[in-house]
Amino acid sequence: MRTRIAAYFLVATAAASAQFNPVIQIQKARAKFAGLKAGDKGVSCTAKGPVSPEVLIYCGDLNALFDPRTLEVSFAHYVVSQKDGSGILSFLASAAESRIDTQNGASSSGSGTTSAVERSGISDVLGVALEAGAVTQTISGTSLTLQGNALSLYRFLRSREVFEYCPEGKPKCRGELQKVLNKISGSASLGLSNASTQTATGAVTTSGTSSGSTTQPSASALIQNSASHLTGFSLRYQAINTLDLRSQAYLDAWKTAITDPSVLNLAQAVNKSTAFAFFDPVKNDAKWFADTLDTIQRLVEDGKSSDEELAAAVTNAWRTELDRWTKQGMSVDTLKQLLAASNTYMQARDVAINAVRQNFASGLTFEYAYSRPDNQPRVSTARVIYTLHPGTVAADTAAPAATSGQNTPPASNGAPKSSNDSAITVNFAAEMYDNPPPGTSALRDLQAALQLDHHFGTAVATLAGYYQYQHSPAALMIGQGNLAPGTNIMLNGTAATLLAPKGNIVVAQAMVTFPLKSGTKLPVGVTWSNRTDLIKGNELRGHVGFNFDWSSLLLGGQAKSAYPSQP
Amino acid sequence: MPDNCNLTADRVTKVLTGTAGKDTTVQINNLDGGNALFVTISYDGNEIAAGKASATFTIKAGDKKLSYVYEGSSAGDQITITDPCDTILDAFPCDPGNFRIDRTVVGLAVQVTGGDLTVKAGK
Repeated sequence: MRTRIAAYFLVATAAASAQFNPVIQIQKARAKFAGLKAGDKGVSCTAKGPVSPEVLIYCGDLNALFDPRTLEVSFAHYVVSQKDGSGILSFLASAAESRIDTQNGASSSGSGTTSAVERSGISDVLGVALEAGAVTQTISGTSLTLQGNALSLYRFLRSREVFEYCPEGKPKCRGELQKVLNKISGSASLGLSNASTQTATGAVTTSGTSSGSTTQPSASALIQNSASHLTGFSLRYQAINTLDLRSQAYLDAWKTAITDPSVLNLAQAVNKSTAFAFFDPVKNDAKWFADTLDTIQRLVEDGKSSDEELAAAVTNAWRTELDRWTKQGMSVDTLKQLLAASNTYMQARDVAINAVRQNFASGLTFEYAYSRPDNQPRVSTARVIYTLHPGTVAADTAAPAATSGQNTPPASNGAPKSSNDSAITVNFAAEMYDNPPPGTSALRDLQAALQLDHHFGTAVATLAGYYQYQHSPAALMIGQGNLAPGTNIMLNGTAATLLAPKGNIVVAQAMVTFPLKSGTKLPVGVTWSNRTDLIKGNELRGHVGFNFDWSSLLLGGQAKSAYPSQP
Repeated sequence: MPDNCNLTADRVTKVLTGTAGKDTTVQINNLDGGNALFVTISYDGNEIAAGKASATFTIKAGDKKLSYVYEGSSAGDQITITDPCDTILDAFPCDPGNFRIDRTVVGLAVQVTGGDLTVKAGK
């Protein structure tokens, strides 16, 4: 039986400042101007008369750099910060960007794991997995694994909001340290069910008798391990993480996610806002548009103005009109309501998109895992994990300017589109004893594993193979005079270390995961192994699980909160 | 010439102008090979499409709001709004942080006076 619970905690983000930083718009306007034909470069966007389609698009991109109705969230953010001295809270939030396959459960060599192969991704924020079973271990166990992301932890410890809205294509969104931290994650596994006994030897004192206390110099007692104890931890570094944003499979999945009712309902709530009804581009604001467009076009084309100067020109143009727009009906409260609704929508949207991206990313991850299994020597594992989605090797993760720059034809003009919904995951690992027991060496074993995932409709079929070359025999550390836990192996009177028969391990796993409603999944599968780490002989184990994605619950709650008047 | 090509755009103010009573269609496009769609789009306060790449509405007399929440599959992609005749009505880069856009549609009322056809803004 396998149970996995994945939890994503979303916390609203407070924008660090009201700084207006339209990187996407500035990059696009500069790239479009650079790509104009020579004859189009002198055309004023405010001049009358027909212009080429390229100039029309360029002028549109210039307008999008300052038009409050195209930059509604940014503009509302700016106005609220200017008008409301208390500052901005919780308006621009998102789950941190991730495009990964996540490994939520315990390490494949850990106690209680059900994973023969580990995926390359790391948890965005915090993941929780509850699992019961084993793959190569003789003794099945139950483990609770907690995963965390270093960037989220860093921001939390610095009393900053855990999430920062940082959409793809904003290269200045994060500093170098934060970029590195975002690639690091860690996990800790707690053993839940492996309660066992150990022998403690020492002096025993009894008291309370009429004659006082007595001391027995030496005695042995069996004590029980805590039902919950740390069985291991891991550190992961995600070295490469790529995603083909143009693959047809991704685009199809993206569309499905964006049009999910839980996202759609929140978008409709945002769209009901009348926060920008004060704007009058037909009459009162027409001249402001023309003047500002002229200014912005000149700054973009002079080749001297920095991005900061461009952004400052836009906010200056806004600031001079705030009083007039207020007289036309602009309301800070209404803008705040728009921001609140936008915040909720962006969280839901990004969670939905991130979930899709997790299923389509390729990535390389390095992992160090430390295991302290019950009654066995402590083991360190170094693992390399690579997940590949065929057709996504030439990943498109470039900044916007790189994909639509002056000399780059639009991708729609012949850009290759790959179509796949399969993933291949490869693991290589080496396990080492921290303190090799007598009769063993530091290198315990070498591992190689391969997993294939393929979508059939909404179901996912998984085939996995695992091979372990056992360089040193597995060891069992137990108290004297006992049976080896979970086995019928009787130890002799003084044995403290049992070296299990050495032998290589081969595991084959087949599984089908069926999606159910509300983010729940039902994996059903079977695992065969030629032996386990302690015992020779074939082992056939069935797996029936229940996975629950907590983000679906969060989305449901947000959808309800956006419609307080609805049941 | 396809039907529903009944809007013109001011490239400075982005104000859209058309003849009242005419059906018109707006289409959202991603010129960089990705997706783009109207998550929801409303005209004069009424939703006219959701989860689609195009929407059709009948132009009303006067100044009316065309509001939409859009999404493109990649930040920075070039987004355009066109009519069925491929006339560019609007253009902007895809910005996931600024996903809602308001535009004004001016519906010009058609009045027939003494055999002359006059088109003027109806209020």
